[in-house]
Amino acid sequence: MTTAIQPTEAWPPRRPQVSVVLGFCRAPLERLLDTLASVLAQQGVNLECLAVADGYPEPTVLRALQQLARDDRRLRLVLQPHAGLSRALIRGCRLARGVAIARVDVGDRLLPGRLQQQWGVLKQHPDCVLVTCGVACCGPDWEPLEADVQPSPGPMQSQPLPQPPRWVNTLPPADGIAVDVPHHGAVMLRRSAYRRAGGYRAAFYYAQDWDLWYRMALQGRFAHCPQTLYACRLFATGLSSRHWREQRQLAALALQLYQARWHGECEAPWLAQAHLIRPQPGAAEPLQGRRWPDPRRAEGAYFIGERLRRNGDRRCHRYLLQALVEAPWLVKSWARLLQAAVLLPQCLPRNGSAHKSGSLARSR
Amino acid sequence: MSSTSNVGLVVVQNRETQFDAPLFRQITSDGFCRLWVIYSQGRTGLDSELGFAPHWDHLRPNSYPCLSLGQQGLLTIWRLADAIQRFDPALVILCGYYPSSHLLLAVLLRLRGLRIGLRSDNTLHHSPGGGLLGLPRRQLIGAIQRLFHCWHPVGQQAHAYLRQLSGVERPSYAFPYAVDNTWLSQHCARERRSRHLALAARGWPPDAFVVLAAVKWNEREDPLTLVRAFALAASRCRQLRLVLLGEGPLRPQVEAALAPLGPRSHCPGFVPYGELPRWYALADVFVHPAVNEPWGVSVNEAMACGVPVLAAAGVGAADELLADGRGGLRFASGDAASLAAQLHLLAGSPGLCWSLAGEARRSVACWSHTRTIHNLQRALAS
Repeated sequence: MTTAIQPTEAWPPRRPQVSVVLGFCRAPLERLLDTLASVLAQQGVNLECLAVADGYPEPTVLRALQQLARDDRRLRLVLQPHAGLSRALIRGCRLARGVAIARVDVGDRLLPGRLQQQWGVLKQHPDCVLVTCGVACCGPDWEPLEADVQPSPGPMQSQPLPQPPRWVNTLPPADGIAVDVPHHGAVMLRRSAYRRAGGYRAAFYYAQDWDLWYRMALQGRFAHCPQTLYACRLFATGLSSRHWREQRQLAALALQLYQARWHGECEAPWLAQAHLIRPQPGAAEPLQGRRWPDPRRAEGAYFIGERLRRNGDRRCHRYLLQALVEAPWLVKSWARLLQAAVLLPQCLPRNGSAHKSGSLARSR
Repeated sequence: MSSTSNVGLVVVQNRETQFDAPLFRQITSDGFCRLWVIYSQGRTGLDSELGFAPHWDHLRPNSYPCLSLGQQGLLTIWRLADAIQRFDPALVILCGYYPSSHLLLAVLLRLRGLRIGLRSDNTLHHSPGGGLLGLPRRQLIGAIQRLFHCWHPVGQQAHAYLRQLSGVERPSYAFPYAVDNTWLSQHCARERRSRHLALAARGWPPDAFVVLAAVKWNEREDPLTLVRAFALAASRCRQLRLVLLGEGPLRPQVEAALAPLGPRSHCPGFVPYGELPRWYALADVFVHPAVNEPWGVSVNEAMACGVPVLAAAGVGAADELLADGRGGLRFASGDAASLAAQLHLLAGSPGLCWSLAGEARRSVACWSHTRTIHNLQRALAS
């Protein structure tokens, strides 16, 4: 049974240009509100935001989101039993009323001007069906993981200047799409093309995005806005950290499906194969809690720590140490931690005698 | 009166603080122990970041027994150790091992067989000394921490710091930075009844959404990020107003940044503590933008007054008081765009603000003087 919570007044006031679809499962309230703040602060487009809960959220989270949805009629909260992100996205996209559908993931942020720029490309080019943008990849505390990219624009710069989009060749069937769509949360789709393509498919529990991109490629052109308009965060406990193997398997299957379609072959065997790749029933997937060592979380923490170390960021220690705690047998974690310890002494004193050595006398 | 009423407790602190002094007063009036507070750098003094000595008008003189040291020479510390020994305390809590007179006193007291405890607010995130190059420093600090019989961390992060650097575990009794929640909430509730008048007095509309910050105007507490974020959010939200309390060396820059906002901002300067409930009563949201603040007691104050908090990641209190969005949100230090988006979100949703305010009150209720006194009783009884 699914429930859609709507305000009593007519909703939304007029047909939106863009529907932002957010699927979430047991997400902390802080991350949700942070993401929603960045969505609702977007300017230059008439938008609606569909937040689809994959499983019933905690009462505190639910109460806060309901309050927000009552006050801001652009937000619509949809509840449904836990069935995975794909089903949440399918439902969100089915309820979407906008001409375009933009995706965002929980914990990430839309940077100022993202929706306006991507919407501008779709509006100007009717044959374009998908627009991506530059993505700033960050750690859990917004530590930039790519040395040349910062997660937010300059202090007083509200919106980056638009640059012309780059067009992407979408039709080399042997190799797939000639672009690495940088992040699922960074795309905007034309809704009509999404429907024609068949939308997300529940057979793909993970990597549902690649399956969709390959089918969208047959509907029209892809464009890429070169500016960084989306900031994503990686967590050691995130889906991509824990299930990258399954994601890769499914992405490969999505390519095979694409080629099969291109050659007019039947998709059924591939879809049946994809359907089997999903969490085992009863398998616990704790989002935050850590009670025992977990090599998958270790790999996630190692990835973040190593990216920070390469950037010369002293905050790498924390993640490399976490990787060691999760999987002490990983030699690479020991090696990188030692390397970081020698070359990047952790050093945060910015100020103050108060922080020198435990002085506690401090006024307001 | 508790059974520990004859037990002595000595607290050695640099200076009197606006949040601990009411606790000492309460301990004295409760009479559960004989308390003696020693201010090693004088009861009041110059705040190097503010440039003047703050005056706490809510503190009554002689409300608890205290000694204010005029100097910190070797002889003075020796005599102080004598005096403490004569007081015959069950526990001496030293608030930090800086200045060095605290460390010297700790060594002397330990040699004389007295039980000593360390109160610490340092965290791994806010302290230097990582990496191999910081190894000697870590070793030294760890050795100092092991000198104490028990620990009194101000929070979980401070406890983790003590454990990690010392490499051992000591009996720990939290001595948090807590404010007088009851006093603040009662006074704030009273002031809130006349909020509309306060808004009208400033020429602000009754539906104004007031953003409050109480920070030192220096780079560490970063008021400029707040002003930039406010300017961004205010460009889209007509009812936003800013009250920026405080003082500091960045005044010219802050004033220049505020100038385009005109009457939408108000800077009353450094206000007496007794007036704080009036400002919290005016506020719809409190912002703490500091890039490096091991705790940030104003977060407690705001939450006690039922005001949601937006705190930078560099504020230690945010990690422990705002966990999982209970009572407020965090933003990356220095990220004005993100703070602006959060301000915009809250300004547009009174219901969400109300929900967060309720969570704030519930969250801070665990950080009270009552809890601290309970912990101190346990420490004295052990």
